[in-house]
Amino acid sequence: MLFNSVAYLIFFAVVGALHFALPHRFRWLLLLLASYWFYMSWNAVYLVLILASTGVDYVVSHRMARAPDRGTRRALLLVSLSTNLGLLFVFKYWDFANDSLRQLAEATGLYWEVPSLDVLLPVGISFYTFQTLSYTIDVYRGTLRPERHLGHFALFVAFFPQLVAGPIERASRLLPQIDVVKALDWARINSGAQLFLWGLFKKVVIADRVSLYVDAVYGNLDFHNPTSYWIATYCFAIQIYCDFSGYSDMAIGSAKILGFDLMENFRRPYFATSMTEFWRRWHISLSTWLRDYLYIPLGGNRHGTTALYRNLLITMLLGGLWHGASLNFVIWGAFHGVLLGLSRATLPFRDRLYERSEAPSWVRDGVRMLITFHLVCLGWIFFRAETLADSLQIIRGITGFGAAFASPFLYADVLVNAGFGVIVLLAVQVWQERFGPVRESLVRAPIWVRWAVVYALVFAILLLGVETGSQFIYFQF
Amino acid sequence: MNPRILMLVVAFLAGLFVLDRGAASLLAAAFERLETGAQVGLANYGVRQTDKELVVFGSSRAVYHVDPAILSEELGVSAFNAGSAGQSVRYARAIEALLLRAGSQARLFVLHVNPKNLWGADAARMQRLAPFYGRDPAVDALLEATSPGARFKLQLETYRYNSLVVPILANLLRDRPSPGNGFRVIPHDRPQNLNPREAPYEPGAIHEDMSQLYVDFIAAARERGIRVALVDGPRWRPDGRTPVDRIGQEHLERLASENGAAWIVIDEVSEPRFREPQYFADVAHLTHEGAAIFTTLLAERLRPLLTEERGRE
Repeated sequence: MLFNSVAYLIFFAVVGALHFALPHRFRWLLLLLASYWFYMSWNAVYLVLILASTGVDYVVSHRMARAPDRGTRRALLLVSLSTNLGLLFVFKYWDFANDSLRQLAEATGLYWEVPSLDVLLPVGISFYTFQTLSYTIDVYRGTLRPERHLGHFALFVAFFPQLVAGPIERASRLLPQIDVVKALDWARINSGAQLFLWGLFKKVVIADRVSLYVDAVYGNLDFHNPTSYWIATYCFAIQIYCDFSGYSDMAIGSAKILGFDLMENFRRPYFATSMTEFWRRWHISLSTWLRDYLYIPLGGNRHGTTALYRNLLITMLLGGLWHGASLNFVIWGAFHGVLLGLSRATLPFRDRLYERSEAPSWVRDGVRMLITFHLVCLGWIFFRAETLADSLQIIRGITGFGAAFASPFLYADVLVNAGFGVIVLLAVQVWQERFGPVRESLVRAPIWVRWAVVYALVFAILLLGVETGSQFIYFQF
Repeated sequence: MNPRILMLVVAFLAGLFVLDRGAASLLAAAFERLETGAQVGLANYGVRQTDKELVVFGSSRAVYHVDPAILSEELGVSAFNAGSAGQSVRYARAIEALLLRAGSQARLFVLHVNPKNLWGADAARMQRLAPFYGRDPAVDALLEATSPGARFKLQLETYRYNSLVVPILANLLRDRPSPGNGFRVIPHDRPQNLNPREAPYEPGAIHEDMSQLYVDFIAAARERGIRVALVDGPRWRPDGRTPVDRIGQEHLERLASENGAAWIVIDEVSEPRFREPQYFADVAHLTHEGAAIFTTLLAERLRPLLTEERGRE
């Protein structure tokens, strides 16, 4: 059940109405059942995995809280880690690891014959695994008390707005909200619905539209020329941002209507002036998770420059691998790890250059944004291309080595349709960068302005949206 | 719920309804003038060809293979190619229904088949005919089957013009040449690509709903006294017919025979020239020269149908 489907709208309307009709003490049960129903609409059998994670982490966290010594707590943490990461490994990485070992064995003349599993990746497994892990680790560290109510804990793991593609919530934020009695708040519903609508606009008007161009080019590289590679790569940068941030907006909007506040997941990342800033703005729930549960435990920046760069590289490598089991994601992660290191290393030099320049600050910032954006785009080539060979073909193409047939404007209608959405997005984001959230400004505007904006979004979705109900990119992770 | 909030919600929905109908009326008026473009403009133009005696239906293979000018010259009838790239028998059935409802004077419908359609086809591609929703029950049923929520969404009249704003506006801003007789030629400068698109495979059971669309297509035409020919054209198949081609052709031949339609196959077996690669732009499509050969051969096979039909008159 996709957010951009009529089925979800009906589902959400029913759940929302029942949620506010029921007494508070039954609401967790309704949301839990709705969340399981939502998940089972993809693959009912894989609900077992969520139940397993929930059960193990609930028991482990309580045992951990009662554990007499650090050694027992550590052993219990290992049980949780091995269960959750074990499931993730089997379903997501087994075949990749197996194939890689087979290739290595073949190259070295050794015999390797372990069967592949060829199982369907459970949707959202990377997201809810990281969410439950953060809970167990926080309990282990003593920064969080274990949740006593099994139903509340199960809802924390499976809360449907953010179950399949985040934001990856922290227990310390989400669990207390389940206890709070929520009144029917019109302003909150209004705000949540606006956010949902904006997310839907980004998804169907922009992301799904430009994906037609991206898929056509990346799916048939030999047929296209270097100009198309450039345009398709820019389009993919727009697509992945609008797809994922659109999903996040819809998730946050849905949760807001139900009375829950989920964390911000994107903060206009293409306005970043450095790679470090990019990762403070992109997929914030993952980047903060990696920071808190990987980078800092590895030592962070506490043990000298070499350790800092090593830790950055390890964190980003694993961050890349989190996205998917392929060499391209590993390279993408390593690429970002190296860029983050370089960003740190060159910061003093870049700051001096910035201060000495006599150009206006908006020009200087603009140049930094453009450089950062293009570095990110270079990384997106590895992220989007099917294979490493395809990635290299595109890089060769955009650097001028390559020739093919199709005109870059073969899909001009796609670009024109998407262009409208991109202009609106850019205008909104420039406004947000300068004046703060648009929705806060709208609250102060006369009612006819607010309604005009909503009507404009609705009709833009109806007229310009791609209506085939396509999947969200991050569902595959 | 607070009565004021309830009133606001009702007012908002009423505004949405009025705006939807208003915007859709404007779009409908502009759409009436749209007769070009690979999207729905050609369909709009096609369903107005009610005076044509011979109409060709099908996918890109119909578009690139059948030249109505040759059919007219060889058979002495007016002809039009209503094929559409990327479409299946669903689209053909919808265009046929719209054409018949508009009062087609046709004597012969030629459906250039794709046997693979018997195992399903992308229903969502029918979406481009959404502006025709409400004109014919058969078209409505096909459009409502495009996606699970389609029936609900099609009630919003503006939605029927989804993805059409740009072509409609472009059409209003400049006059484009008429699409002519619907025949298209693959550009000469496009590199030839004879690599197979997929490996041969054993298909499962034929989808009954897809098979039924062919039956419906024939029945609707015959009800109006229009003869039907199901035609399968050549492909670049140096290794012979695939299981899909073989099983599909056998099924369609039987189906044509049982429902009173003619079954015509013109391929590399019946015409040795189609064993030559120079007549193919790719594995599924002929070049301009290949299309001329194919259409001439087709005309010979269609001639008896038109003669028999005249005899019956």
